[in-house]
Amino acid sequence: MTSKSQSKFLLFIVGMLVAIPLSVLTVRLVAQFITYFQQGADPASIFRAHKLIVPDFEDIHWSDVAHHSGKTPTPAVQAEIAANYWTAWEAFSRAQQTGDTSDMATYWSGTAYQQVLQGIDKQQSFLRTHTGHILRLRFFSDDDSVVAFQDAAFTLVLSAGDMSFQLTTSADVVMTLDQGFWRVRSIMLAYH
Amino acid sequence: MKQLWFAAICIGYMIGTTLGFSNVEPPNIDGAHIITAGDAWSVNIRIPNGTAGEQVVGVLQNGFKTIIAHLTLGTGGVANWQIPLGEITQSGETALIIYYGKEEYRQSLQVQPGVPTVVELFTSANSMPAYGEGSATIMVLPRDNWGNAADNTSEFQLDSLYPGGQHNSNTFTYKGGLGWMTLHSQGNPGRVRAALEYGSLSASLELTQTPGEPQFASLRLSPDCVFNDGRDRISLVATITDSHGNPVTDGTLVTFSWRHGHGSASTVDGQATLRLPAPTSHTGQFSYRATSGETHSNTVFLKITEETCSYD
Repeated sequence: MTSKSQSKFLLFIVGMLVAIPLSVLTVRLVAQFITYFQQGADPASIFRAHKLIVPDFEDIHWSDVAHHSGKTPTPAVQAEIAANYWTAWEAFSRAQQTGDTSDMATYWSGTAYQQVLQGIDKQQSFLRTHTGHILRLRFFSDDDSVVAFQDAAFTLVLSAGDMSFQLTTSADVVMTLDQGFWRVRSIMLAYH
Repeated sequence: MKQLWFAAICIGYMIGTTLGFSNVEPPNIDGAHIITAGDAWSVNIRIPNGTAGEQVVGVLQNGFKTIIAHLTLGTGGVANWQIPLGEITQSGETALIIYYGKEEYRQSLQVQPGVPTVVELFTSANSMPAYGEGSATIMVLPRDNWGNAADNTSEFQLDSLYPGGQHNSNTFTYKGGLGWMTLHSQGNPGRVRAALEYGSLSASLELTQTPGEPQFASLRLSPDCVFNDGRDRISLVATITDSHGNPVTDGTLVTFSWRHGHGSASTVDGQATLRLPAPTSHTGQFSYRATSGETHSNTVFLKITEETCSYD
């Protein structure tokens, strides 16, 4: 008799141990299902690219915006240019790792696009990190569609085979606003 | 004494190791330090105390491109690295890194852009107000065969031909791959042709100098006398000109107004025409006026009569 009660109790305990996690899992799945239909599309999924985030100050920032020719871009436009330039480097890094160059044209155009594609070779090297972009404005057109700046002394860490090397780099950059998106149109890199 | 010497050598070795001193002599890298994009390049890497058959790895970081070579030292510890035509194509300071064992050596190679073969000329505005009252920014992107920006020392000039036949020549400010200049309007409305010539390269664009805002307006009425039988139409013709007496831009809106109504028309060659039935309600004089922006025309009068119209 006692063993029957004990068996029932054991069955009850086992049943509870299974039922409680199942219930929690079911509630979570239902909640995710409801949430999924309550939110809009993820912008990153639309562009098949990175999340549209503003990079940190340490990653990229402007310096000497006042000392240049032409118009001064508004802080919002400065942030937009910096974010798109930073994202262009991210796209390059990602294309090197995956070999998928399909979204490179979103961030690079003209001759810069042709040149950056030459650097995508999984067998040779890939960009690990790019940090410390400090942008110095040279020119901003009066129709807000062309910007030229110098990216002074940022750090690239590249890997080639089993080697990894760090390069202090500067770049002369021209970006143009094409269909509402700032793209790198011309870039000349110098390694120091 | 021997113990003292031994201790000194040990301490010296430890300090040297800690501070990163190397007892390996740096390699002798013998090759051109400056080349033009697309050129072939050859470099001899001599490793002091290196022996034939040892491996050296060379990495050349040129723009976005990484060129890697595993080289074998020959007699005298020398390895020759030859990079053929069309491999080093991106201009700018290029990093050469040599790996020998655990040692790493760096040197730079200056890659200059080739002669520009393509030039893009573009403007921030396709039109600008005439009479020196407007301007547009003209930009130039010169590129060589490999897509490299022209050297910073390059000078580009823009020759402009204005509607009155005047010529002007301006130099671009050129830095970091982009040239820019401000082109000021000159003379009357019309087309401005701007051309850039650099060696065998040429590019051109066309801008329009537009008239100014409406400044003068005159109104004509035809006919100025009609019978009140309701069988006539009248025409109001407004001529709108800018401060220099030139017709305003096509499409400028002109509003015609009279006692009990108003209508509008757009200018073509400075003239806006409105046709409407003559009033029939009663005889007398009717006044009409035209307005464009802040500019008002003279007032014209229409005579409605039951008798005769005299055309003097």
